[in-house]
Amino acid sequence: LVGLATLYDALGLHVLDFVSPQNRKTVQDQLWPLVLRTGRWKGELDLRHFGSGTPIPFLVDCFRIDDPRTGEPMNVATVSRDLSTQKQSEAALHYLNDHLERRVRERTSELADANKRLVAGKLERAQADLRLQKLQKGFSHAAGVTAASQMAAALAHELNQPLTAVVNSVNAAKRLLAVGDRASLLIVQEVTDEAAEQALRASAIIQSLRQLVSSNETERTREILSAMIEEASAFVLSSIAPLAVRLRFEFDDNARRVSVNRVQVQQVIVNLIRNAVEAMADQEPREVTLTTRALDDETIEIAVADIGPGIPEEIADRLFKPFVSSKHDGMGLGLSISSSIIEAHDGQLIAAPNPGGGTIFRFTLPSGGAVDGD
Amino acid sequence: MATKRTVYVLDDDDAVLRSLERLLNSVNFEPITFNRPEVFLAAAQTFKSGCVLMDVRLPGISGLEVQAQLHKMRNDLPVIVMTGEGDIQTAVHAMKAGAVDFLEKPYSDHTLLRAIEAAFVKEHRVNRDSEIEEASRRLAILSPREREVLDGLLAGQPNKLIAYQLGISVRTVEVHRARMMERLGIRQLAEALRLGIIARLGRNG
Repeated sequence: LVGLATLYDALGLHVLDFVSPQNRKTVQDQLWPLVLRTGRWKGELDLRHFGSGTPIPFLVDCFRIDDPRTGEPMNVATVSRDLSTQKQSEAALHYLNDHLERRVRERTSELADANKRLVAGKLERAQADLRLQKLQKGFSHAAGVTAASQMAAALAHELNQPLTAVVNSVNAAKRLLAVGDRASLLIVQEVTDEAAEQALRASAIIQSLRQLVSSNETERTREILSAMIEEASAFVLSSIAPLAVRLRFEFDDNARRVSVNRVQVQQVIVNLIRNAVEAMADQEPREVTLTTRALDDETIEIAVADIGPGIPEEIADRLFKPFVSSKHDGMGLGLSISSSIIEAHDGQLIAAPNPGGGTIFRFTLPSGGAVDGD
Repeated sequence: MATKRTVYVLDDDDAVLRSLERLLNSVNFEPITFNRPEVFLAAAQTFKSGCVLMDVRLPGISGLEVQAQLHKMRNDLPVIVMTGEGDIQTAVHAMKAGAVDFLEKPYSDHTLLRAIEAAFVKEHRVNRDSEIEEASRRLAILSPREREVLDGLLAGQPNKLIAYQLGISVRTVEVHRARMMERLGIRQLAEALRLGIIARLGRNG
């Protein structure tokens, strides 16, 4: 262990010879008296490798051996244990610790960087979101503008009809007046009446435009849906033959309240019931079913179903465009206005074939929340 | 009293139909009116000579389709199409399909009656080539920019879009438009468009 070849070599040595020269003085001056005085010392001590002279770390346990008869200290014995491996392990551990600490520091700074990047990324994302929002806003604005200009063009077209009639009638009247005979004058009276009527029709179209524009400013109140539907139905029934149509109601108890502009939504309901009744004009029986249903906590769906002939295929995809109509005298504004109103309520108006024949119009409205003590 | 000349009128708007009836009666034409394209087409076979005045915006069927079906049966009848605003594209198609003229609603009675008179003359088949040549000659005096503005209008584009596409201001488009009309010596835009459409028939063959 300490570089001695034989036991013999060891016998000729003093115990201090074992100790490394650096520790020898400490042992002689402090440890030796300490052991003699207290009986024991345990500690780390560098011993000497006899071959190379290099110090070897040892855990040394020294104890005093007393003479059992006199009680006087007789000798000092040591049990030593080589600490080289342990020291190496310690050093390795120490290094490892250092390394680990450094790694931790590095990782920490890396993490801090990453975190910084993450925060920056988050910020960037937030900015991107903002840009997207702006873009979407721009889009929806553009879509609104497109819809508005489409509406304006269609309205201009529709206005041209009564205006054309007015111009034709007035010109006819002018020419008839020039003829001036009694028969012509009688016709002039009729023609001017017709002109006035068409001027009023033009004004009605402008009114519906105004209504359309104002539908964007929706003031909502909480309303009881069934009452609204019943009222709208009664309104329609009052304007047609009482037995002309059978109305059926299916109200969902979980869909009692809606948050809407009452007048506008009732206009939609009236419109859809009227359309349904008119679609079934040439048939018997005529039946309209009005159904309410809570889709979730926030949305309520209203369906108006007829058993008529269904929507002609050629207009089905343009159904909600202004001035599209399958009715002979239809202006084609009803569904487009209705759709605008529902959209202003963050809902959607759609049409689908009724499985049993006919058409179902469905639209959604924001729920007015739970029923509370009414 | 001479036999009245017949004008077959097709428009889905009853009020327009009635007013046209009044007007045509007042100037001694014989109007026969239809508010449904299918009835009109069913009756077309029985039409005497005359001219057809029809709206291109009809319910259920396009005016161009009605025109095409009528043409198959009665290519002897000159057709004047009526369009609403923004239907220039349709007017171009109608002219290509052989309509002799188009009127943008609302129109003055002078414009209408002149178109009908011209149609009756064309009933005797005036050579369309000479008409195309005439239109091209008149449009030749326009500056390239004025021509571009006219092309934009013929495509049914609003001033704003034309301005955007030509990279000029809306105001400048308006100036070009006004100057174009002035140079052509016409007051109604429809007339300028008509010239453009006819000239284009020549270009596109």
